Amino acid sequence: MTQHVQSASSRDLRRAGCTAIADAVVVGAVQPRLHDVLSGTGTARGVHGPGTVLLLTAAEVPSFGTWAGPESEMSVLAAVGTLAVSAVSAVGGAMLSLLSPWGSRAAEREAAAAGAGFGQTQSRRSVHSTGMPGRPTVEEGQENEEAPPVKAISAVRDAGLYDPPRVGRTLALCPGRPGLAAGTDSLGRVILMDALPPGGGLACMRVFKGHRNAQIAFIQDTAGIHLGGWHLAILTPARNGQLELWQLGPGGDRVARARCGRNTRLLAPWPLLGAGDAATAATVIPGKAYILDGNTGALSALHVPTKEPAQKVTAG
Amino acid sequence: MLSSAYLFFDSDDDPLIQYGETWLEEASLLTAVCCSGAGVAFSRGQRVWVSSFQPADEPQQPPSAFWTVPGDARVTALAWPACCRPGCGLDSCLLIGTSSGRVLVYTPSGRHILTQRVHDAAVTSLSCSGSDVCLASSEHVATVPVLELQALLRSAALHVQRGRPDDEWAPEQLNVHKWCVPGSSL
Repeated sequence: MTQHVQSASSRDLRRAGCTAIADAVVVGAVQPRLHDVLSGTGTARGVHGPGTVLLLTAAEVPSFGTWAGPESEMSVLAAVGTLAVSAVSAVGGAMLSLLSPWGSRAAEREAAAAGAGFGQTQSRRSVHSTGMPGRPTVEEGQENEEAPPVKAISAVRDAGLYDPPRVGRTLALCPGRPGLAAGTDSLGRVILMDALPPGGGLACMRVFKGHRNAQIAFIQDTAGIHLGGWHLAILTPARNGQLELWQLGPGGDRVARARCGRNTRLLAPWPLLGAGDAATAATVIPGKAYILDGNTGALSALHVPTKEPAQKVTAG
Repeated sequence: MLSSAYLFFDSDDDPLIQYGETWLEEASLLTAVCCSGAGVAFSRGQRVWVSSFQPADEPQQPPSAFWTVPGDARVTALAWPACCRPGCGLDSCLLIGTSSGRVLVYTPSGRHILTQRVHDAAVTSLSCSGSDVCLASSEHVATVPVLELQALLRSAALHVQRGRPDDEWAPEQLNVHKWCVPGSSL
């Protein structure tokens, strides 16, 4: 049933000229390149200035793509819109009060009877009650959902990997190196990508085959020197939970391998809020990953082995 | 068995969290799982569990928080970003995406802070970078600047510190930037 719903949604999206998105991450703010400034192509690429945000998506077409948009411009538009609505409301209210003093007094009486403290502004807001864990505290229909969802604008495509049978599924962003990301697809591949290569675009650095429905995460070996000690962890449940650790880079070796069982999850913490760019976040906390064993409920920390690369398979 | 993969895991081979018999039945049916540097959160259906990292010397210890998301929507995505400056007064928060396209903000202790409608379709993924929070649905991608989230958390913390009643808590909505991704003619 879910499949039917999803496929119908995908058809609708295609009809509307859009593509179904499976996952998305914010790569960060991007600056216009010198070539864009000189040739005037920055606006066509969606790169207007320092406020431009670069998104990386896993979707149908393209499988993986980067998209740019002026975040600051949207903020200004939203602020202007809010101010305009407020101004119109204020002017309209003042005119109504001038034209109809009786109506205004009646409204005041109604507000006083309803106990609406700060007036309509307060009553229009959603009032949230906080509560203890385990107790549902608020009804969803009483939330501040009266405001409609924000209207979407079309992002400008910066670059993409096009391979129509291939559909992007999930994404993971390396916390320690800006632009470095990994993605999984419908063909059982894990693709290592650079969303901020020196020449622009989206560069495919490496493809790991045979990892259907894989889970991916970046972890850091603080003692490592290659690319800051960052490694890519790939957990493949279809292979009896095979877990592999790969050094990053075009020719990175497999550092270790183990089997963790089918019912296993690979988890990685998010970068810290407010840490700014990815490089800053990496200096605040090293990259970690965890393994959740669904059979025993145990959660274990994952480390890059400090010994020689393990040739043997540590089977359970 | 994870204990055999000694190269990968803690030297003492002790898992950080080990749940009791009740949890063994739940773990295989979880719909969303996430972790931060402080703990791990699970969800199934409308329920959310949060557990802080601790040595697994008390296997029967229950999670530190548990609550049910209001309404009929299911939890489809979770994220638990932590603040970059622990101890500065800003707590970390738990972001919950639902099948109705809403995002809910909770503290790890289960205090509800905000519910906001972001998408018309279910939130399929939640991700955080150092500067933005990204919420994807099948149709759109929405981003929220981290500053917006920090301001919300600070406001909630001040509200509690000043001893104001819970029913006076009226948060401002997060400023959301929303994008659609044009399809290709290929």
